[in-house]
Amino acid sequence: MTDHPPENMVSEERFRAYVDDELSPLEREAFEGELETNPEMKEEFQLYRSTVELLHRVGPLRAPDSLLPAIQKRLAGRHMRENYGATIRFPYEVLAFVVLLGCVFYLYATQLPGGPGPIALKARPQLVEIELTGPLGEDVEQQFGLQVLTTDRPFERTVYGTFDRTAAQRLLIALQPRSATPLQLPESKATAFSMVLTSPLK
Amino acid sequence: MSREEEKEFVERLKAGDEKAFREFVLQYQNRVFSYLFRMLGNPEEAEEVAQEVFIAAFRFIHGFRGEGSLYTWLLRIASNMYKNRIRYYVRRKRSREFSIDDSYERADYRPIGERPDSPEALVAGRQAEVALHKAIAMLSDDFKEVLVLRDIDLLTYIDIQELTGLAEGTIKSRLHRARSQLARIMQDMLEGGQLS
Repeated sequence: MTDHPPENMVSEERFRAYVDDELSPLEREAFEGELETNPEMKEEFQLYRSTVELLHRVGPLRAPDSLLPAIQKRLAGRHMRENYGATIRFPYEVLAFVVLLGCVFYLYATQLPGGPGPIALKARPQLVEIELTGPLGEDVEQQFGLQVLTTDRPFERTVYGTFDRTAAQRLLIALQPRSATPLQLPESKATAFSMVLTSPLK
Repeated sequence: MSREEEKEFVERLKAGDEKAFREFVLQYQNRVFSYLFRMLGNPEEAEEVAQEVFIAAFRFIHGFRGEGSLYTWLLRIASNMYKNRIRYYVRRKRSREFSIDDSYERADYRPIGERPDSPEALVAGRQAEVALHKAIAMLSDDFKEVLVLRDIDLLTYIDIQELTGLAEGTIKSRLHRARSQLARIMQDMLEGGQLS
């Protein structure tokens, strides 16, 4: 489709120029004279002009009352997202971090060699410190999975491990020959015990 | 609003003055909505796009350099958005399902013109508006745009040039042909009894 009118419409371009008041006084007069001698053209021009007048009269429509509140609502939402988005997302990040930390700790506690064992997850263990009179021996350390805390060569060695009540009692029975005093678990409602055992190296 | 006043107003908008933005919407909402309604033919869609236009204006006001008027800048956003929407429909081969017959009737989108002095004038005026709305919807988008900008929004040829990027001669030619087509459509409606 071309934007340039065919030859036979060129004279009709004057319809637009007349309505838009772009003709000189002489041109206007000539155009009006032409209309008087051409009833068909005059009728067509009247339709053209009345259409343009109707368009001018109609003007803009009234926007719906809901437009401004809708814009303000959407902008407020955008403002919140842009300014407080980081805060809104923050708990999710913390949650993800806590879950990750939990997973790592669970692996450490239950899967990895040297972890305190599954008991550590169930309850806060009660600390039990025992000083032995004889060397502990590698066999007991291995049997109960005790871990070295410190070694003060050539004097003493401190090991530890976390156990439930039954396992802790078994450990105490195994340790009893190396202690000058009777070994007992403390009276408490604790279900887990962190046993810290200090023994002479020789 | 004078050029100086507009400059000050734009500065307030750029500073994020909420009151200025409210004034901005109130000042231009009718013209923007009207333009979109004429171009899209559907009031709900026009309102939706008008929201997008003002939100985009709010976001990008910092890019307004004041070379043209604030309104033509705003209208250029509206024009781009409406064209994007049409392109979206064409690309997705989606039809825009609404009836042009009742789109004007669905809500009270009354023109902001002179108030009619009698119920008869009101009815006659209303009928003419509805017929005009239908007739405009029948024009091609190219014709419709220059017609709406020039004859309804009453923009100057310079503003239309700035907005559309078309040469003045092309605008005038399209306008004339749009008016002629519209006049014929209106006459057909008149003869077909759709416009009494």
